[in-house]
Amino acid sequence: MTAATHTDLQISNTGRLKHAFATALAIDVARISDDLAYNSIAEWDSTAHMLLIAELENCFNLMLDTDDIIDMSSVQMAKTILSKHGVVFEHITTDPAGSD
Amino acid sequence: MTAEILDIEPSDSMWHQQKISEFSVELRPLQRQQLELLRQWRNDPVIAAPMLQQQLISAEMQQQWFARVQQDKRQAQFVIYYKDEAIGACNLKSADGLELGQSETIESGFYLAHPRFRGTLLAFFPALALNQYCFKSLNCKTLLAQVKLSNSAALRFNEKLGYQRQPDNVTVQTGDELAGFEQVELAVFTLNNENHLQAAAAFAPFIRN
Repeated sequence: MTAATHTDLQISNTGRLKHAFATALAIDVARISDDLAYNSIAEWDSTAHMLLIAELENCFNLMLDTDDIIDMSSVQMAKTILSKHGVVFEHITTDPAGSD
Repeated sequence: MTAEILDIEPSDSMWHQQKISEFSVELRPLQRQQLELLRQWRNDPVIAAPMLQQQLISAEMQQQWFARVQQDKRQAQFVIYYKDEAIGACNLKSADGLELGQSETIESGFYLAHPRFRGTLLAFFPALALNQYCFKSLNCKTLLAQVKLSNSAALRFNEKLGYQRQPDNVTVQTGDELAGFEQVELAVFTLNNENHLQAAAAFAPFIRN
């Protein structure tokens, strides 16, 4: 059950992230990929960036600081920054051999 | 907005001594010791590209410029700081020939030199701080900005700050006899306090720490 819950959480957070981007940038969720970057498409301008920050904060119930807001220059960077705040995106494999 | 007087020798600084702290950044009056840093920034082709004057600036030219503007009360020159690091420069110039504080129309200009911050949300903060200072402390009525038509990023940037584009562009001549002259077309923008406050309110939720 723990593994299933963990997997659900990953899918959920990735999906929530994509949904937040799609909502803030007003683009189709299919266009959201890790390398999508700020100012690389017309839809991701400074206004959309503010909407995105608000959307992500609301979605993941956290508050980003100024450096986070400045550095959130791509979807990949958003994942990195949100991970720093405890949001899990990556599959973490527990190595049984490494456990005590 | 907080403002404090810096404790420095007047001969090494601009005539204005007030530091502006607002929108997560500080605008500190330009000091002589920062001239070389400014010169290096200004000679960077990326920074120089949107400017009207393209010629390389020598250390001597920079000193002469500072001597000219240092006591000119029709203009103010600042270095932009974020978290105690110098990241760019900005200035104000009276557009009607009166001293700042009496002038109703002021032209503003600025650039971010630090590559990390160029094109990011932070780029708006010093501009908002500068605009707020003009309307609140200098009792300015209209801010003026002129942007090369080729600089599409700056055109959009000004609109986000609440500037209204005027219907007519202006054409100016740049260059010199050696390098040759060039006609450059500029878009003209104006900003009033009401539109500034509206723009600032949109950014306000993102002013942190």
